[in-house]
Amino acid sequence: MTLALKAPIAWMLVVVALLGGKARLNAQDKVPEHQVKAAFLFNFAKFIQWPPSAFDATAEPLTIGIHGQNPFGSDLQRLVEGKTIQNRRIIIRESNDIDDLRSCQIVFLATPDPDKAVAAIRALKDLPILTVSDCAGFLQLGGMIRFFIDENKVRFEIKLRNLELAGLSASSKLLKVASVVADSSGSR
Amino acid sequence: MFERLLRNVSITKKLILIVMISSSVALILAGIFFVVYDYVGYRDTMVRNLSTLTEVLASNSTAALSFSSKTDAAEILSALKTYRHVTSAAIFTDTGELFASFQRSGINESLLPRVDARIGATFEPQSVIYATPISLEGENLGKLVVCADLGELQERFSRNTLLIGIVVLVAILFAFGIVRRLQRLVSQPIVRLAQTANAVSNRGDYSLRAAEGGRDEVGTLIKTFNEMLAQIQLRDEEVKAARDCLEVRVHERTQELEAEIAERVRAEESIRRSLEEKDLLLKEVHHRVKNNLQIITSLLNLQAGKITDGKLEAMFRDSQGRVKSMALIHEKLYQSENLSEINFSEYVDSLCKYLLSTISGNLGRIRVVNDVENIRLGIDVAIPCGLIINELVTNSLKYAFPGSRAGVIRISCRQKENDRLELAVSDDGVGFPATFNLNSTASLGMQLIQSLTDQLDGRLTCADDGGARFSLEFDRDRRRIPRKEPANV
Repeated sequence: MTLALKAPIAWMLVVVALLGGKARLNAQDKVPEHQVKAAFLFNFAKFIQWPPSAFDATAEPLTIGIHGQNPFGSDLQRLVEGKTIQNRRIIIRESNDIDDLRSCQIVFLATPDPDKAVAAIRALKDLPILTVSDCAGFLQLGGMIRFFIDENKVRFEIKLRNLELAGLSASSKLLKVASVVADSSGSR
Repeated sequence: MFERLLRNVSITKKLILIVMISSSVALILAGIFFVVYDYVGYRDTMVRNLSTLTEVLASNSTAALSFSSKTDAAEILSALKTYRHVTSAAIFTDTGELFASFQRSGINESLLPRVDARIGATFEPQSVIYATPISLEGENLGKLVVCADLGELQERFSRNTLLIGIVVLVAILFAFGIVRRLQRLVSQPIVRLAQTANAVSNRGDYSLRAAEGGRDEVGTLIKTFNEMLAQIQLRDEEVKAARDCLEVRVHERTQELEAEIAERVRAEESIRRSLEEKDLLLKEVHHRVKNNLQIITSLLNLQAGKITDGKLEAMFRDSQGRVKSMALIHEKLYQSENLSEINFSEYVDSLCKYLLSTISGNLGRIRVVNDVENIRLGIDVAIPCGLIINELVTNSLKYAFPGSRAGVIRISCRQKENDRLELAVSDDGVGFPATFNLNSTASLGMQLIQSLTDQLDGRLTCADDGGARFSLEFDRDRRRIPRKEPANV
């Protein structure tokens, strides 16, 4: 194929990407960290299996709660708009009161403070809610997925035991991509 | 075309050729079908396997794409190294960027997957490319493209072709062996039949028979042929017998005919001999009659010499003339060829010569002219005619030329219509006396003439025109006239 033909196609792809408002993860280096995290947060929903009790009704939307100061701005909102996961719409709920987020399926704890994190974890304990944070030692505190930066790339670790305790299960594909933290092992 | 080529080939070769051609075609077709079927089937299996593999990999790489883990994607693709016909693979993001790839060592650059590969299977000369979208929860994440080498397929195709070729060849050879044996079932009876027919035709020996065949069509043909030969033989024998019989009959008949002919020849010979004997006898009879008459004439002559009375002597001389005229007839008869007819003109000549000789001193004073046509007369007619001429000429000599008067006596006899003859005797003498009446004359001569005329059933007329002229008309064929006894003369 000649360059003359190749160029318009590339341009079209770019235009489509911009119109769709998708956060592109592939060129991670050029994408702001919070956008990558927002995309990851959204993608987790695709690889996690909730128990039926997690939803009140079959048509109930999947809710992503953000506890504390929202670090994603409007990026996450834009990302999930019009999307469905497991035939459910996705809505974002922001609240500083952890009790407001008890009906969510995913809760992002936006706090670097371990104490606050612990309090939130306790508040959500035994509920089928996937807890995500980038707070240090989150997994050891009873959290499930923690973001970290490795070689300038956003990565995440999972503690399967904590998922299982809440009645959640993660796809092996997710585990393959993540750094899995063993029960006995300490923080990375 | 086939048919024209095979027409003069022997039936054995024809059968072998037909079977071999058809079985070869069938085997080759079956072989081709098998190779193609196997090729297509194996290719489909390859594509199916490739598509399954690709779909599994695509599903497995969703997380890697979702979480942008290139190393993970590369690890997933590296599992392809255990599939030896997969040469290369690549994951592209939904923007078309290369996300991860796999490449077996020693693979041409041109065989690497391309982002614009069509979804599904695409065949290239040496390879097959399978592309599938990577999607999760209805969201397109990218595209997985896997290239597989078709070398194995082609290798399998070549191997199968060679194998099937050998199998077909061996099968054809086997078929040849079998057909060479089995064709005899069909060809042998026909060949034998043809040989027999040939032998029959060449030698013409219809006692030959073709060896009996089975109960199939050829068997029936042989049977019918044999029956035909039997019929021909039978007919032949019949014809021969008939011919022999005919020959015998012809021979018999020929012999019969020959015998008949011999018999006839003998009969003819005997008839001829008896005819000759009869002729001889007749000649002898005429001769003796003539001799006897001659003796009578001589006796009359001797007797006349003793008579002194002139009248008596004349009567003797007349009788002598009459006997002479009859003797002359017999003389002419036995001199003639057929003994039944005489040349009348010659007779008249002889008679006249004699009559003239009886006149003493006739030195050319009276001449006789013979005007008789060349007529042959039977004895029945010749004797009366001779006697009549004798009487008339004697009369003329006696009375027509008295003294030394000279004259001519003319005798004619000519053929008239209806087989009638006119005999005329005339002279240029003194003519009839005044008292002469033909019907009432008392002279013996005239009575004799009348009587002879009656005997001839003729008509006598006389005329006097410078001499006497008698003319007698009668039927030449005496058989038509009832015979009258000359005894009343």
